[in-house]
Amino acid sequence: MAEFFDMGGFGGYIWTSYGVAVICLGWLNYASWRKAKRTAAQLAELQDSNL
Amino acid sequence: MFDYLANPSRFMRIANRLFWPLVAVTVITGAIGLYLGLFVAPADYQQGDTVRIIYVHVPSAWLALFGYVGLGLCGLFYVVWRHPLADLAARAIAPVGAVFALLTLITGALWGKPMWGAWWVWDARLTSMLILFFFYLGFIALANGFDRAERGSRPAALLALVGMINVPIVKFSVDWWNTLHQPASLLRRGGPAIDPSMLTPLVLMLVAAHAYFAVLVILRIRSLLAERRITTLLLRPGGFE
Repeated sequence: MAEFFDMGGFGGYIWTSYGVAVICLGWLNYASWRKAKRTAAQLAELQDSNL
Repeated sequence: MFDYLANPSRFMRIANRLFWPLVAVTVITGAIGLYLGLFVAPADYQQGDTVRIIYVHVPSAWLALFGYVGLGLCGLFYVVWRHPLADLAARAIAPVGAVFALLTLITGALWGKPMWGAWWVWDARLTSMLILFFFYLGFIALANGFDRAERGSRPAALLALVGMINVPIVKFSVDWWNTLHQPASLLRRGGPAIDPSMLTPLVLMLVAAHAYFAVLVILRIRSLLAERRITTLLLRPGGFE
């Protein structure tokens, strides 16, 4: 297991690459979902009050 | 076909139908690709285990570039036909493409340090990729830099079009100049120059990245459409209450 994480001595570079990718793409995912939900809720509220 | 898809509600109906299948494709191909890339694929005989960085680096680079082609096409449709959906699509693509471009630069540096001995070199491929990232940032700044968002649409679309000049430069930089960055291994004459044990996870990660890109863009177009409708509702007579 330790050998797997060591990646032939390059573990630091490899795991940082994957880590940065997970953080960036995860954040993008979270932000996009949150915005979609918020705007949809806002729109629904406005449409209700304008009926 | 463009006229058919240019209707926002029809476009959203199709996009919504594709949404969950695209999420499934992202999760399944991404999981298998990561498993094969990290556990099954062998280390490279020259690069050792650092070769595993390509499973993140190459898909990011492709999407940064394809995303920009999308941005440029949207810019063209907006400048020529003034179609609002093209503007929304461009605004949805830009931040996603920018993140993929940034990831390409970061993962490239993390591979370059152990393999070339330098985080960065001013080589034609790296430099043109950095310029691509700046075009994304420029688009985002212009598109959002006005009190009324629509005012930024035209200058941003024009900038996106100008940046299209950079796309072939990124792609062919490795052929036109003597770069430290290696030439294309997948889209080259004579077919891919990678062993199947490494090609399979790479292709799976490429599929996952494309599907994920589409998922994020659909989500963002959804938000932008809702925002536009909210503005319309608020601006119509009696809208402010």
